[in-house]
Amino acid sequence: MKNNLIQSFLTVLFTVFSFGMYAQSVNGTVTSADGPLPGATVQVKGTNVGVTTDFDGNFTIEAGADDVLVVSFVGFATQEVAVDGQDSVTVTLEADNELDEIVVTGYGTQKEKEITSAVVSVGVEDFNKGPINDPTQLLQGKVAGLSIYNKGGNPNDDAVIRLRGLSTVGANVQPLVVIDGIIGGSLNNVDPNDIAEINVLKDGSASAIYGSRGSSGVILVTTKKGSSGDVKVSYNGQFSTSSIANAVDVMTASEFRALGRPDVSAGAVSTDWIEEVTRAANTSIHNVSLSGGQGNTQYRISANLRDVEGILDYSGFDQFNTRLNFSTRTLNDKLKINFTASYTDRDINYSFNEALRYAVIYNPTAPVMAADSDRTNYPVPLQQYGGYFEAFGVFDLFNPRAILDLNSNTGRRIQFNYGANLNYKFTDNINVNLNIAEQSTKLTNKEYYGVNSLFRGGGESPTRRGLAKLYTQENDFRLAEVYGAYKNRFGTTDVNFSLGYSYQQTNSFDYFLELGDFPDNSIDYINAIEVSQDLQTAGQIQANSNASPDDKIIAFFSRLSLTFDDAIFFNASLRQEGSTRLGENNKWGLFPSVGLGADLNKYLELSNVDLLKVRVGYGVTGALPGQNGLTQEVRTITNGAGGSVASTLQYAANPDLKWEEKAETNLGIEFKSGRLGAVLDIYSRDISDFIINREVDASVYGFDRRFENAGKINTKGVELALNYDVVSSDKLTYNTGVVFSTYKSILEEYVGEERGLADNSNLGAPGQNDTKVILVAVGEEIGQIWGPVYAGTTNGGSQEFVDLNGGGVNIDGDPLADDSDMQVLGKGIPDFELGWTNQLSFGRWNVNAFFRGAFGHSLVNTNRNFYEPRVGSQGFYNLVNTEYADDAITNARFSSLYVEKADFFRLDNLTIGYDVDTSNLKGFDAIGLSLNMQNVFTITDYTGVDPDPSLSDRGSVDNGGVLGQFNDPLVPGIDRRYNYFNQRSFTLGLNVKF
Amino acid sequence: MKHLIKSTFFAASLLVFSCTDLEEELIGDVTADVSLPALTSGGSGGGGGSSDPTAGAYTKLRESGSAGHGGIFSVNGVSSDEMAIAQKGGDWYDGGIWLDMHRHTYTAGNGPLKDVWNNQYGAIAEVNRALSATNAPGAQAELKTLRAFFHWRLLDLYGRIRYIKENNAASASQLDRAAGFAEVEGDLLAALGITRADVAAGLSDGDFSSDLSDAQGDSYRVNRWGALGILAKVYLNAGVYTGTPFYQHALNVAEYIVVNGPYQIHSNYAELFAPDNDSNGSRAENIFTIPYDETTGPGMNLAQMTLTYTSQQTWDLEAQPWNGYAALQEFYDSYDANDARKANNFLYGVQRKWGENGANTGDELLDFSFDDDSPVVDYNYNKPAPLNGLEPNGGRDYGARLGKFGFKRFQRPEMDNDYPLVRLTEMHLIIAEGILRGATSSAGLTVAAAMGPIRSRAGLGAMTETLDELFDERGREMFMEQTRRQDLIRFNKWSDAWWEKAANASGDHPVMPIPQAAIDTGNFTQNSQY
Repeated sequence: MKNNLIQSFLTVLFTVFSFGMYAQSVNGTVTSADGPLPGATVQVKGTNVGVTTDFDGNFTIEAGADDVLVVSFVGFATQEVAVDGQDSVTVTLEADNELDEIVVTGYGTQKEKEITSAVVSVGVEDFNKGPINDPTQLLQGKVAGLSIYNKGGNPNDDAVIRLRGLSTVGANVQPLVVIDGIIGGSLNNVDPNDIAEINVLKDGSASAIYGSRGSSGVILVTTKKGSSGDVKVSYNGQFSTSSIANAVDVMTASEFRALGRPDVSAGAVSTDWIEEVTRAANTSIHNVSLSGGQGNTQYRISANLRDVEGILDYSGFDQFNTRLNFSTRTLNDKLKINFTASYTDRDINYSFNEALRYAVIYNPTAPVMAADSDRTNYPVPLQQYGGYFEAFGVFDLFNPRAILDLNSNTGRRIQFNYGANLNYKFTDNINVNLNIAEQSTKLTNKEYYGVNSLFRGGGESPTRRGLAKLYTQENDFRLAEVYGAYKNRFGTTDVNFSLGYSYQQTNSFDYFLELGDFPDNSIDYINAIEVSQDLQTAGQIQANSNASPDDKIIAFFSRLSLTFDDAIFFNASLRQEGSTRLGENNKWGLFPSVGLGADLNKYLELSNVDLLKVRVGYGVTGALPGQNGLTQEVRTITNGAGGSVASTLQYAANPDLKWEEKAETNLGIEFKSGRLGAVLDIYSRDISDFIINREVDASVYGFDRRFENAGKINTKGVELALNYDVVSSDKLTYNTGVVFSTYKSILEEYVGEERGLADNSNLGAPGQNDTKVILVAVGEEIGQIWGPVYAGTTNGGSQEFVDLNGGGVNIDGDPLADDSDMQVLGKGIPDFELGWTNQLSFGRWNVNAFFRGAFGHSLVNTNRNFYEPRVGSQGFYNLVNTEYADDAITNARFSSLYVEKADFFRLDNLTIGYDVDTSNLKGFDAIGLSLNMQNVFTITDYTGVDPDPSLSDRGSVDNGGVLGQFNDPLVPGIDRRYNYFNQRSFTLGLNVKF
Repeated sequence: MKHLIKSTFFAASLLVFSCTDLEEELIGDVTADVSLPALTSGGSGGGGGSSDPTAGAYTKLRESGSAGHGGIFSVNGVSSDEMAIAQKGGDWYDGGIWLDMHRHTYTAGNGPLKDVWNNQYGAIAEVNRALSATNAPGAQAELKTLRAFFHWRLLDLYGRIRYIKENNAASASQLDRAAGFAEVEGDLLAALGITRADVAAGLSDGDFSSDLSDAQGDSYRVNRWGALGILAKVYLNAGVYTGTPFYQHALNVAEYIVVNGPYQIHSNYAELFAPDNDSNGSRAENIFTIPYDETTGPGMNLAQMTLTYTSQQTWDLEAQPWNGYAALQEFYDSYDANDARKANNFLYGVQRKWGENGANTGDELLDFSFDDDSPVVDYNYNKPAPLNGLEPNGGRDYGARLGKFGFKRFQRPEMDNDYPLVRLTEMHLIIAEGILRGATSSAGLTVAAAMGPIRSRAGLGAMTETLDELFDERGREMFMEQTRRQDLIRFNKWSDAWWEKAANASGDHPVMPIPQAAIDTGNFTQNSQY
C-alpha cells in the first residue's frame, strides 16, 4: 500500500509539473495491421504520464511539443513517436517478430532465438479445453516428451507427470513448478482459468540454473495480468456432465448363475454393482476476473468456484480460489514491484476407490440389502451391517454400496501463498531482483467408518465397532532470493550476466490419530472421538505426530549469456547448492550448464527458409532424497517387559548420502519455412548416484534397508514437433500439429542385485504375494514385465507354460535362474507417444480436435489375473469376463495371458466454439460459447479400463488396507485393481467479457 | 531511495552471509536411546517407566517372527512335517514361497528366508548396541545370551554365518558352521561364567562365575536357567553343526536344570500355552518365554494364521482370520486317540460359533465361498481331490488347524499367550534322548524317569524306549515350538517323503540357502549345496 501511495503522489506531482511547464493536449489513434488497438499504452517518455487507448484505439494525452510518446502493447514492437508540435498522431504498431518473442526462463527472460536449450511454450489458445481441474492437464499431449497421465481421471488425484521418462529414482519425480518467477509453488493453488502461458524447460541446460529441484524438468507458469485501461470484467463458466466410459468386463447375474456359481438371492436379484456405485457426475466451474490499471499500475483479481463431481458416488470437491496480481513502477520507473497472492480452499470428498474395486468382483446375484437375499442359505444378519448384505467370511470382499453409504472420507485443504518481486534498475545495464515468497498449506483429512461397516469399521466384530481417523498436516515453504543482472552490448556482441543467491526452507508438522469402538452411528464420531471405547481399553489407539527439521536448500547461482552478431548464441550457468538432507561431507553440489546455438540461415541465406537454428546444450541438475533424516540414525520407542521403555532402530542411517545427479546433452534443430514449422530434439541423459531405499547387509547395519546412492540410468530420446498451416485464408484457417516422442531408459549400473525383480512389483493378495513381475537388471531397459509364457493349454485347472529352455517346464524357484522358463512378456514404457492437434476456424466458428496415443507398451491386467480364472475356492467373487476368459483355468497364476498390449489412439478432446457477434450488444466486448467432449473414443485392444501407460506404481493393497504413498518409478506397467474407472464428459462453456 | 537500496542490500548480505548453515536437526524423531532414571519404587505399569538398556534387545526377540506369520516360526514350521500352507485357488499362492518351503524347493530368492535372516541380524545389532550402553555385569550376561541365541537361529538355519560382536563393522568374516557353533557356545559359556570342561565334567553350583541371576524371576529375562536351557538345545544339535556329537554335554546341562533348578512339570498341558499362561502357574515349567501381549507386546498372530475366515465367530474374534496353516495328516495321526495333547493341539471337525457353553458350542459355521458340497466349516482330511492337495486348489477347510496356543473370546489379532523358548519338559526330552544315544546321567536318571511325567500328563503309559519313538514323542510334545525341523535333521529324516513333499528333494540339505540379498552385499558366499 505504501508503494501505491508513493506512486500516486508522484503521478500527481509529475502531472502538475508537466501542466505548469508546457502542457498540451495530443490526440491520437493506435492501430495495427488488423485495425484499431484498444488497451495500448501511451506514455510520455521519461515521465510517469501515461494513458491507454479506448475501445477504438483512440487516446488523449497531455504532452509537451518536444516530448516523445512511447506506445506499447503486448505482442507488438514498442514504438516511439515524437510529438513535434502536432495535435494528433496516428501510430501503427508492428507485430513483434516471433523470433524476438520474449520467453520466460530460469531467473529471467530471454529472446526466443537466443535460447540454446529445449524450451517449449504453450499459450492459452493452445491449452486443452473442458472441465480441467489440474493445470497440468492443460498441457496433456501438447509438449513432446512431457507425459501426463491421470489413470481414469479421479478428480481428487494429481496427475503423474514425467518429462522425458524417468528423471530421478528415489526423489521428487514431479517437475519443479515456478509460478510467476517464484519457485516451489503448488499447482493446486493455481486455477487453470488464471493461466496465460506455461513454459516447459525440458533439458538439463535449461533447468540447471534451478539445481536440485530441476531434475524432473521445470514448468514455468505465467498467470494472467492486468493491463492499463478501463476495468475489464470477464466471466468464464463451464458446465459439464461425466459418465463412466469404460468399466471392467464382468459377468452379469445370468451368466454367473449359468456357470453354477453361488446364487445368493435364489434367482430373485440381479445387481449391476458398477452401476450401483457410479453416477452421472455434474461439474460446474465459474471464473470471474477483474482487471485494469492506470499509468504504471496494473492489477488483476480473479475468483474461481469449482463444484466438481467424480463418477464414483460421493467423490469430488468444492473449491474456492482467488488470485491477485498487482504490479507497479515507482522511483522514476526504476523500481518495479510485482505482487501476487492466492488462496485456495478445497473441500474434498475422497469417497472410496475401493468401492470400484469391489464392484468389479462382487457377486452379481447378491442384493444390496440383506433382506433381499436367500435367507435360507445365506442368513446374513439383517441389522448387523446396517441392513446391507455382506458376505462375511469371504476374504477381500465388501459390499461396495455399503462402503460408500456407511463411511465417510473427507478432507479440506487450504493453501495460501504470496510472492513479491522487487526489481530495481540502477542503470539501463544493471538491475537487482529480490524475491520473497511464502506458501502455507494446511490439510486435514477425516475418515469415519461406521459401527455397522464391515469395511474397516469392524461391523462384524463383537468388541470393537467403528473407527475414526484424523490427520492434519501443516506445511510452510519460505523463499528468499536475490539476484542481479548486467547487460550490455559491445560492438556486435550482447552480454548478459547474472548472479544470485537462493534460500528455501520448508517446515512441516503433522499429526495422526486413529481410534475406534463407538457406541452407535447416532453422530459422526470423528467429531466426538472422546467417546471412543478404545480410550478405556487402550492399546488400540494409534497416534502419531511428526515435525520436520528446518529442511533447507541454499544456493548461489550465476549465468552468462553472449550473443554474437545476433546469430550465434552462448549460454552458461553455474549453481552451487546445498541441502540439509544430505550427509555431512556431501551437502554441497555443483550444477553447471553450457549451451551454444546458431541462426544458420543468417549465413546460409536459403530461400524459402525463415528459420534454421541449431542448438546444443549440456547441463547438470540434482535431486534430493525424498525425506529428511536419512543421514542420521532414527529410533523408535518400544515397550520392554515390566513397563520399561527402550528404543529400537527404525532404519539404518547413511551419513555419506550425496546428491543424485542428472547430466543431459540435448541437440535441437528448429526449422521454419512458410507454413511449416518443425522442432527436433535429440537427447541423452545420465542419472548417476540415484537414490533408492535399497537392501543392505543387515549384519553390518543392523537393518536390511537404507537409502543409498545406488547406480546409473541412461535415457536416450528423440522428440519432434511439427506444425503446418494447411489453410490460411480470411474465411477459413486450418492448422494441424503433431508432437512425437520416444525414449529408452537403460539401467547401466546398480549396486544391488545385478538382475532382480522389483519388490514393489508384487501383485499381492489373494494368492499372489511374492509374485514380482517387473525386472530390474543392469544393462537392460527399465520396465520390462517378466513371467512365464502361457502355452494355450491347461492341465487340471492350471495353465500350462511354454518350455523356453528345453528340459521340461520350470517356473518354480528363482524366476531369474538360467533354467527358469520365464522371459520378458512386454514393457511398461511405450515405444513412442503421439499428440495430434487440429485447429479449424471458419467465420465465427472454431473446432479444436486433439488426438493422443501411446504405442508399444503393455499392461499387466491385474483384474483379469486375479478374477478371470474360475477359482473354485473363490466362488463368491464375480468373474472378469473378457475375450480371453477360459473356463478351464481354475486357479490364478500370473503369466503372459494377463499381459496385454495397450497401444491406443484416442480422440481425447473435441471442442466446438462460437464467437457471438457483439457489435450490436452494448456493454459486451465478447461472448464465446463452446461445447467440449473429453475422451470421445479410444481405439485399443486392451481389455482393461484404461490403456494409458502406468508410469510408476504404488504397490498392492488388500482386504481394506491403506495404499502406500511411495510411487516407484522403476515399476511401470501394472494396471492395479484400485485404479479409477475411465470417464467421458461433455462440457458447455460460456465466456463473456465486459 | 538510497535508504531502500541500502536496506535491500543489507537484507541480501544478511541472507548470503548468515544463511549457509545446513545442519539437520531432527526435531520430530528420536535419534538417541532414551535415558530415564530407574524408578525407586521398583514397579511400574506404564507412564514412562524406567529405561532399560536391554529392553530393545528383548523387544527384538518378540518382533523377530518368533510366533508370527512370515518369520522364523513359519520357516521352521512349514519346512517340517508339522504343517503346511496349501494354495486355495487364488489364495495363498504368493509366488510359491510356501509351496517351496514345504517341498524343500526354496531358493536364495525366497522372501521369508530373507526376512528371517534380516530379523535376526537386526536383533543382533540391538543387542550389540545395548552391550555398549551398559556395564552392569548382569545385563551384559543377559545380552550375550541373547546374542548367542539370535546367532544360533542363523547358524541352525543357514549354516555359515558372520558372528557380529560390533555394529557397523564389515570386518567379521563368514564362518564355517563349526566355527559359528564355537562362537555361539563361547558367548553362552561366557554369559554363564562356565567352561566347556565344566559342562563335560557335570555342572555344580560352584562352577558359575557370572552375574546371571539364578532366581526364577518372571521368565521374560534370561536367567541362569534360561541360558542353560538354550545351551542344552545348542549342544543337542551340535553334532549336526560340527560332525561331532555333544549329547553328553546336552544331557549334563539339562540334568543340572532338572535337578537343581526351581522348576517343575506343570500339571496341565493346555495351560502352558493358554492366553493366561503368564499367570496360571505355567511359569513353574516355562523357563524362558517371550511376553506377547495384545496391547503392549504385539507379534503373535497364530489365530489369524490358521483359522478359517468365519472362525471369527467361534471366539468372537476382533478381526477376520486368514485361513492359512493346517497340520499334516500323518502328524495329526501320530497322536494316540487318547493323547490329551491331541485335543489341545488341533482343531478338528465341524466348527461352531461361540455358544452358551463357550467356544464351538453354538450354530455351525458357514462359509459362503465353500468349495466342497457343504458350506459348513468342517476341518478334516476326507475331502475329495483336488481339495486334499497342496496346490493349486486345496480345500478351504481341509486339515486340522493349529490350536496348541489357545484362543480366548474377544481376542484381538495380537494374541496374549506367552511363547516358550525354553521349557522344562524339553530338558526331560533331552535327557531321555541323550541316554538313548549312549550318554550317561550322573544323577542316575533313566529314560522312564525322564519321560514319566510327560507321558502321564498326556494320559499315556510308558514309552517304548527307542529313538524312533522318542522322535515321535518329541514331535507330539513340542509341536509348534520350532524344534521339529532340527529333530528331522538330527534323526536323519529331513529327506524323507511326507505329504506333498518328495523324498530326497532338491533342498533336503541341513542348511537353507543364504538369502540372495546377503550374497549381493559381497559379505557372504552361498552355501555349497545351492
